[in-house]
Amino acid sequence: MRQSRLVRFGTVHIPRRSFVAGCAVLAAGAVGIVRSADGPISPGGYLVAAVLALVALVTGLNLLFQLAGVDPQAPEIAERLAAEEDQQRLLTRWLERARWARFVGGLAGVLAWGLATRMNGNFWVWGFGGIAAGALAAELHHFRRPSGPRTARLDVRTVDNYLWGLTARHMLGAAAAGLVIAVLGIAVGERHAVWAGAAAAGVVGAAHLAQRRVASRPRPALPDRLRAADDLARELAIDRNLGWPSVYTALSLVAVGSTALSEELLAVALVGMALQFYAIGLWWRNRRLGLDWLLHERRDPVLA
Amino acid sequence: MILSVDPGRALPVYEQVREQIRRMVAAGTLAPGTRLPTIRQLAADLGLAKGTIERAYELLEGDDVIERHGRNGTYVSTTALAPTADVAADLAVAAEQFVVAARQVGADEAEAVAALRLAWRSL
Repeated sequence: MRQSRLVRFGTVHIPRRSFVAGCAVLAAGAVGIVRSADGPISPGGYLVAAVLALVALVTGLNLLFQLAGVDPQAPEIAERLAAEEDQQRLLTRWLERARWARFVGGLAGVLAWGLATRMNGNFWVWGFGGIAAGALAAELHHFRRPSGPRTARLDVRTVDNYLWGLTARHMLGAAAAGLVIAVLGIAVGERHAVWAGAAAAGVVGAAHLAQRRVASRPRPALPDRLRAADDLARELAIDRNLGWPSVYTALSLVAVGSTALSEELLAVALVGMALQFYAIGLWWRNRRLGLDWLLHERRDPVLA
Repeated sequence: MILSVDPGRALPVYEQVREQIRRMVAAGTLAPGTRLPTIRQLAADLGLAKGTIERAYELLEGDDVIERHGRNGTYVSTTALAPTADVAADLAVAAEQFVVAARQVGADEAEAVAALRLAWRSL
């Protein structure tokens, strides 16, 4: 069976069709439970409850495996990115670290939203902010200085080498939108809008600083094939791991700020609402680093 | 274009960096106008303090080997001298040092050549 037709929960592989069928049963069961809620629970109700418990168990296991850093898709994605084994090892290590940190960050963000704000804060800001914070944590690890003789190439690495134009334009746009909201907030005397707008610009600024740090992260002299893999990892880190999360977090903050302006500037609030939907779309495309599509296509590795 | 430094050598590290960049410019492997890495990047890559690379770049600028344009970067000087280095002579000196080191550790010719090939491919 093709690997892409399997849904994985740690070491457990479930055929995708069975998984979809299971979800359908779950949905039907939920409807059944709701309908029979007034009367005594029928034998079918117990069956549905058992199915629900099973799905809850599988979901819980999935969360636990992901929390434990089990990412069986990372080596598969690395195989589709690079042809050589040492390149794949380098990319797998980076993928595992980045995807785990984003997952934990996002989960922590959602938990913080539930516990710290008692679900009164903006869900998207907390969730996306958690992902962005996790991405930052994944990329800002410290390297120990080597001892003894060491080598390096005289190649120039800047953020521009790795950041795609589309992402750069989105980052610029999100920061500018944040500043506009902050200025409008000052103009109409709405403090929430000022804070949210400034925070949006701050998120993008912090991501840019982290991108600069990733670009200049230490790299010893490496053979060409490993240098290419390292460049690819940096590109993914700067563009997909740091760039996009900063954009959808900033846009969510802009939406929060524009909502605070709804009494004075309704049109701005409507634009903010549209930006929130756009941010959700960007997150959907960028979830799990936006690389899972590689698992469903047979193609030559990016680094042949 | 690879730099190699060894803090254990008697020669200060900034001098090692300076000397190697000068050699590459003299040999023509670093052409005039070539952009060099930032101080921050090169210091990180070599695991050195930024001040060490800063010092090496200052001396190279004083030698007219490089030009620094602030935030726009550091470049090999367009007025740098035309390549004068004798590649064959430089290689002969390096090879002699390598052969001496190999013999001192008791390696034969085949082992030395194999080690050389391995190092060549790993950089």
